[in-house]
Amino acid sequence: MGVKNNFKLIFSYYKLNIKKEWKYKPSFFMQIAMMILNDLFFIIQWYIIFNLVDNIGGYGFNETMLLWAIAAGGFGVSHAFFGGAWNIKDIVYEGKLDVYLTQPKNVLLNVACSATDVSAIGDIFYVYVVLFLINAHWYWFLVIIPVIIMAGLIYVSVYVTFVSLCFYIKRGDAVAKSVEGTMNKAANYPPAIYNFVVRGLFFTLIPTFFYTFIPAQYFFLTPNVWWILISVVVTVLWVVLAFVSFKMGLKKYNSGNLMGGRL
Amino acid sequence: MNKYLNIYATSFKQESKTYANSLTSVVSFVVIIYIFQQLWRFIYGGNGGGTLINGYTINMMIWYMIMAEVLMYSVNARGVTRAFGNDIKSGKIAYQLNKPYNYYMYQVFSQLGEIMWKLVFLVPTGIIMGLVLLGPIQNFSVIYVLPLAISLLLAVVLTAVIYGTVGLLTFWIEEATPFTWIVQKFQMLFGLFFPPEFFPTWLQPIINYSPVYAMMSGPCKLMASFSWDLFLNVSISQIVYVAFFISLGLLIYKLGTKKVNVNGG
Repeated sequence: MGVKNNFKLIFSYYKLNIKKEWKYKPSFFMQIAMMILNDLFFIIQWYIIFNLVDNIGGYGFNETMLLWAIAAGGFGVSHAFFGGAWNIKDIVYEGKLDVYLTQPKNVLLNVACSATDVSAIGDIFYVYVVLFLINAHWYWFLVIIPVIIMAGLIYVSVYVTFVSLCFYIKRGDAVAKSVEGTMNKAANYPPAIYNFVVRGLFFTLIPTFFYTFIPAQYFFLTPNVWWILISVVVTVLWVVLAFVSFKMGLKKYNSGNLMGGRL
Repeated sequence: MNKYLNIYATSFKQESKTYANSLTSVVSFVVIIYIFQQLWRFIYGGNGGGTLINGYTINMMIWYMIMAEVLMYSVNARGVTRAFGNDIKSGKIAYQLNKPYNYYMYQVFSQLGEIMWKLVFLVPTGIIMGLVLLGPIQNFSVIYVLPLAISLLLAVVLTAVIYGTVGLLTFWIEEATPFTWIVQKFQMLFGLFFPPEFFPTWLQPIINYSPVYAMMSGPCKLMASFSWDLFLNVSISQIVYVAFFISLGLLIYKLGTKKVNVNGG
């Protein structure tokens, strides 16, 4: 029941946020279209690189594009559905969390769902542009849906886990931004370029490989049920970690005694 | 000019308080240099040896890329666009119109203060990473330091001016940031990722005469393989484009202010 209610909350928020943005239709469509165009530039980058080499550690053009698609989709899902997570720093430092605390829903979910980055919808569309471009199998178009949802959950959970440091220290978001930046950038490149130590880091503390590489490899290229299960478990663990970190941080929260309302 | 230099100095001082942001930027910078270095090593095959790709050794390629990343990270393109955009959208610009300075120039110099502060971190980090990962640049001499610094400064000024001009589009459209993404991608594709020599021969002259060359490829080529002829060529291109985009920005600003509705209050 609780899970069902939370899903309802996520989609209600999403609908509301979209309605709000829909008021400025030209800006709404332009942001989505420009984001797709923005992402398309990277295809040219990889086209040039794969004119220089046939493959990078077994990853050719199509496989690398698949990594990009998953990364864009994960980023898109996280920012479209949980865009408010990126406001946590401001909400905590400015003492504006009170208004969320008084509401009968989970605080983190409430904050995370409260904003939508419209351009992120362009990232989600881009996933399908890439799949068409690489002439993907028909079932990839379906499998990609849970994959980008999981990638999105991992992405937002990692950010929330680290940004919860804001409850304890000044400028706690610096760590979260660094981790997010690393994950975002490293996820788009074939894993073979990384050495042993970095790979260890990308499997654990900064789960870049579970964000793109493991799904690309074991959901699509060489399906493996064990790795799929491990991916699901890792995603759940990161989501739990995000909720726990936020909840622990919440105990340190100081109200700004700011009167506020949410319309 | 003095008032703009004061604006620049104030912005520099203000930015120097946000050391945590600078640190974040440096971490991200180190990560991306590492990724690109690994990628190019792979492309060059193992340690690269003396392999040449389109006239570039791996040493030249990675020093090119370090300079490109310094330029990329020093100017927060979206930040520059938003600085203009937020003032225009929120109406704060109304308070700036009657001040004894030109708002466009005020923002440009304010942004330059931030950029210079970032360069204080990024340049040494880039040099250390290059030396650790690759060793010194081939045939480099100490007398190249000054012209390289001039080229770097002109490049960041040009970049700030261009993104500032894009920000002024907010006078006409709700959100100018998407245009920044596109300009940024041109900058990345034709400047950061690859030197002009990596593109088809018909495209190379277009890149070499474009603003991307002045703001990115030109200074980066100087870093990879310095020559006085190239320095002259890049400097002329940078000065011409800085003058052009400042004039364009001032013109757009003048036209844009006519669209501002001040409701008083």
